[in-house]
Amino acid sequence: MGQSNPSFMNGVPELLILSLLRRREMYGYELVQQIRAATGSVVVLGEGVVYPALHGLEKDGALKSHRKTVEGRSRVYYALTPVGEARLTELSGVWAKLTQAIGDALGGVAHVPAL
Amino acid sequence: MFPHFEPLRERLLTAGVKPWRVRRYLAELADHYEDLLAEEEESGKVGGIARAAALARLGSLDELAEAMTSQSRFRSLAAKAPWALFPGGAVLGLAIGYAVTSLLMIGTVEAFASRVGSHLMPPAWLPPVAEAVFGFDRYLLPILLGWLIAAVALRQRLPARWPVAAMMGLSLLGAGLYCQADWPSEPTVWSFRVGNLLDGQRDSSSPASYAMHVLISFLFALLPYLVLRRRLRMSFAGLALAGLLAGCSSTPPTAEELIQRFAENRANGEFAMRAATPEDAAVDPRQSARR
Repeated sequence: MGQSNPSFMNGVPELLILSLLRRREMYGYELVQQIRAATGSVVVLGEGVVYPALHGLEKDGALKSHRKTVEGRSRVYYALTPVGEARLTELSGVWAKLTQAIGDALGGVAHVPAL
Repeated sequence: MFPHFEPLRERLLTAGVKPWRVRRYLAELADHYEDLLAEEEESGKVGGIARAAALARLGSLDELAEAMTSQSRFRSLAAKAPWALFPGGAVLGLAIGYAVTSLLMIGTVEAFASRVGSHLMPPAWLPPVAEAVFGFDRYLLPILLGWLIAAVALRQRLPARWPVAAMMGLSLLGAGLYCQADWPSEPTVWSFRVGNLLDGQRDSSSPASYAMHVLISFLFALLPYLVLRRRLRMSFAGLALAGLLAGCSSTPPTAEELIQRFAENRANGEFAMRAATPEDAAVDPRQSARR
């Protein structure tokens, strides 16, 4: 994910994870593929690093996990909790403000007349 | 055994990540790897190429370790504050042992002693049983607690200084403490006390016997720890050596290195239409992550 400039990606994995898990519960691999699909491969994770992020969100109470056997394979599924819903709302608001501000700034730059 | 997840396990444990969380992380990575491998194989890659590609997508050893170790909340109490846990745990363990003994002794006398007037006479079997329990507290409990500390320290790959210091503390304290009951030969009040050798109320202990007790207790606790620690290090060194003998560097290869090696070998025609070999089986992280 944004590995060439990870500092721009702070908070993005969390936002994407919460957003995707709001729709339905998923396991890690499924979640990473959904992130890839949802962002048109702009956001590509070193896929294993999604798990510490999931563990952290679970520890914060934003997610809950349970093991489920599907097609003979046991997987850990993650689902959003009410705390996670609240966090998603908060993060989405911050993100919207940020993108608006950056969009405005870039728009301003775009209108600087050429010398 | 595939060398990829073992170094990750060691790195996470050495960094102080809780063992159960490391186990869960590696299990999830192994599941993820299986999915990635299936996807790569479906796309037409085979054997080592598919495995290397799956590993590369999973992330490098550094990335996988950093993602976990950068969050201090995943670290265990033993890693965060070993100075508090080990001496504290040792003292607490001894205190609990002596408290249980005291309660057991008082409860047993209350339950089984016969009353003569206002006094209690213990049954004949009680004094030898009590001596055995006191002996357990004095001679075995410090050693057992030392082994427990050693197990925690080994499991969490802690520096040796903490468990060794705790074992020494346990030996010094354990050899100094004692329980004693005085049984009346005629109806009178029985007495029970927990004390230390410095209180001067126990004549049967000399400084030399105390020192010998400390030494023996310490060695009994320490030796299994040292043996197991050495074995653990040897097993990890063995993995690195296996990698070395298999043509790797002294440290296990990263996924990128594996891909590069496979690409070079494929360019040389070494992997063209080759059947799977035992070495291929050894490069399967699913086996190591399940442990």
